[in-house]
Amino acid sequence: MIELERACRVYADGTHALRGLSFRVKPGEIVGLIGPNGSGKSSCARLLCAMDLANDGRVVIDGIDPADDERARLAVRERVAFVQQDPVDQIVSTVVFDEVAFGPRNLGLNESAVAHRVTDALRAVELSGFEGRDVNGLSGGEQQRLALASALAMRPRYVVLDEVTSMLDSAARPSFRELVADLAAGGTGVVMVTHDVAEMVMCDSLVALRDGCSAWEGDLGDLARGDDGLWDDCVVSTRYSNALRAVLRAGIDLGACRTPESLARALYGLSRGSGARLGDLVPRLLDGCGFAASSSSVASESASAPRLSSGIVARSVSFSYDEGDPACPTALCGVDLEAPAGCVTLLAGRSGSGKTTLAHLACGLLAPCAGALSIDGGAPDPARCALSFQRPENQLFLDTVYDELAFAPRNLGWDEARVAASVDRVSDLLGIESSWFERSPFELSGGQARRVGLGCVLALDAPAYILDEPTAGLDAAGRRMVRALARVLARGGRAVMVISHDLDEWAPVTDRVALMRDGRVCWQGPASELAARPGCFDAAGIEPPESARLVRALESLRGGGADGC
Amino acid sequence: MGASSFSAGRADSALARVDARVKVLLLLAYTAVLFWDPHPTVVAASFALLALCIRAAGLRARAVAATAKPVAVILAFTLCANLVSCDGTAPVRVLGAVGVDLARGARGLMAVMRIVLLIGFSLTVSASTTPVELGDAVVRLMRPLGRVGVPVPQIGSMLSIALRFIPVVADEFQRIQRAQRARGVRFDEGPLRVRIGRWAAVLTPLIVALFRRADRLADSMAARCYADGSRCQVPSRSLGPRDRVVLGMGIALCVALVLCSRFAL
Repeated sequence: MIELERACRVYADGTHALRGLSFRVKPGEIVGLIGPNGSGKSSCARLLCAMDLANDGRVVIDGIDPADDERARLAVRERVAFVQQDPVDQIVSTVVFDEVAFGPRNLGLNESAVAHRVTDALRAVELSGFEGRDVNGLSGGEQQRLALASALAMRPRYVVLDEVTSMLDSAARPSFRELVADLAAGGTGVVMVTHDVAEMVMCDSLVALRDGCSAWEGDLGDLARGDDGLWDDCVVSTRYSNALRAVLRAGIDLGACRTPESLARALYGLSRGSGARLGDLVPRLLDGCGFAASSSSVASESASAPRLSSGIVARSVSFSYDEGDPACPTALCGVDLEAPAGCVTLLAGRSGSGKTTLAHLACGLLAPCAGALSIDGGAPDPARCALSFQRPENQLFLDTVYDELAFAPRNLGWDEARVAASVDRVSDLLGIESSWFERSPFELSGGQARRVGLGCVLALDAPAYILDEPTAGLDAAGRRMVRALARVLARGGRAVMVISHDLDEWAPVTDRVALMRDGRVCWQGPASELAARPGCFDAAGIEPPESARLVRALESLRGGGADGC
Repeated sequence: MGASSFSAGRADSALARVDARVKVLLLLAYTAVLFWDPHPTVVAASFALLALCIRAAGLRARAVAATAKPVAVILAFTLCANLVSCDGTAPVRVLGAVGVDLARGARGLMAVMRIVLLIGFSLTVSASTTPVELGDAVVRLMRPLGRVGVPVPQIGSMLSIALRFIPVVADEFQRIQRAQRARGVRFDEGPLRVRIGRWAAVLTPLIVALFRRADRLADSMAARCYADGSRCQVPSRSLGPRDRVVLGMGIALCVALVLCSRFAL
């Protein structure tokens, strides 16, 4: 068993990451660590696998205290495997076999024992036959499975997963979750740091952290029934999460609604059996088969928004990273796409489907091999179509926050008065306080740096914006802020295109959706029509999001005269 | 994902089937031959040998041209710098103090030819060898040095990580450069000094990102019980009969080329 007793962690600069945290993890149990950014989840994860030691209190794993000596520390690391967010940063070797063999070789095992462990671990993550593959040739989902296999090759009793699905696309996430469930079913204790409600549903218990302390412990049902605002702090509001909360609050057991389909049955039964609030929820969920929970309000808002530009238009756009090499795959092939002004357009699809390439073409960072793009009726240019890269805070490099915000306007040759006005505008928009202006961007917290990173691009005051995975790594509050920002920009008459794996998260604020696969747009249209076309998710090679599955299950229950509710 | 130069060659080519250790050793031996003041006849023969090797590596002419492109300007400049004299000492005067020195030009041409040969043979090795094979070959060749205290396993780990992260760093550099272009930076405009400053600005986020990656990679290694004395094993493997023949023929050829130069045949 993993036991934390009043564990404290203080960093070298005096920051208290954890202040007396206590909880336990048994073999075969899944424990979720939830809470806002900066609450201490990752610090806690590092204590559990002896990457760091507690400054005060105790962390004991199966009776071993890693604080005793180096040998105890290595014994804990062998027992508790650690998998991080970005698979690229965890892969040491260039070939799959060597990567998985890295840990067992460090344990001093002979080559036949190593080979045995590698085979077992790759089979567990369904990568058998990949032994000789180059790690750089694997997809993101495969790389994360490889990282898990490398951890499992240590034959751990516990696995700590730090937001491991946050960089996976929607096709890879469900199967990765199944792997985690299988691990727990096989007796491995799992600790999962997560912001995703679909992962919280899997957990036997949740520990909510706030300011380095355990703010609460229980299961998702208890969290849903609480009225202290913790649900809103930890869970992103989507159609699915709202329905789940309503059902759990009505007293339905979590075990009866772990999947969207079972949730639909519970919801439908409740709505038929009572005239309470829940009675309204099903009709609202099925409102016009809309994918967006508030599709009608979003649509009316978009209709009334001023049109400052003609938006982003792509006509028969094709692109290859090496046009002259026939062996080089085509990144985009005959793409036709519209992202009108005044609307939020969601561009979704699997990793490598061409979304980011299309964004780079729209901003003029790449030139199409065939076809044409127009932004606000003109040629693609960074000043016409501002692009926020993934994790924009990683692009900060100047001495002060003000210089960062002023960098893009200054590059456009604006005078300082206009630059200052632009900085003030984005600061108001993003809640950037003027007291940050003279600070180094490297001193900011994760959430603050994301705001500044986004502000650096919004300062261009462009008629069109593309935001590439703008909520990656953010907590529920940060995600709400970014979603609201997208709507504010659209309300101001800008064309806003959001690239995201997470359809559920963006559905409530999206007007249009475009799905891409293998460099082609396989479906595009109003967000409200998406759920009514079940084949489009298959066509895009992605799993339907939980909300779409819920709506579909509710419709079939309503149409089939639900029995067994 | 970044592409390695290996993708330029064919994985099933004749040269790809030769053990990487043989290719590395022969490349080193041939480099020594080239620095042994080769006779022009030897240089000419080497070009014929290079053409054979390019064919044996399954390299496309396009890939060879793409590799030669960045160095072509530097080589042309080197040749001109040798050929043209501006101090009035050139035997053939063209304009004022500017003249042409054919003897120096010939020496320059020989130097350029030797560089082209070295690049060509290096390309055939890298195009017919995967990064993993190359890394393993270096570790296997260095293994005897372990007896005199050289930390070969650690060097092997470093080499493996370096090879693993070359495409990652290249991607990161490109992403940062594009992100700055998206913020209005023009890398192709302005005076040279300003342009150099703009490129230097790419380095700050790149280095910060690399340090962060290094931290996370170190965590990932430590989490899998990597510690001082941990082993990065490359299993021993003896050379096959074909590899021994190629090695023997290659060394004999290098000796023959040296003798040719020595006796100016």
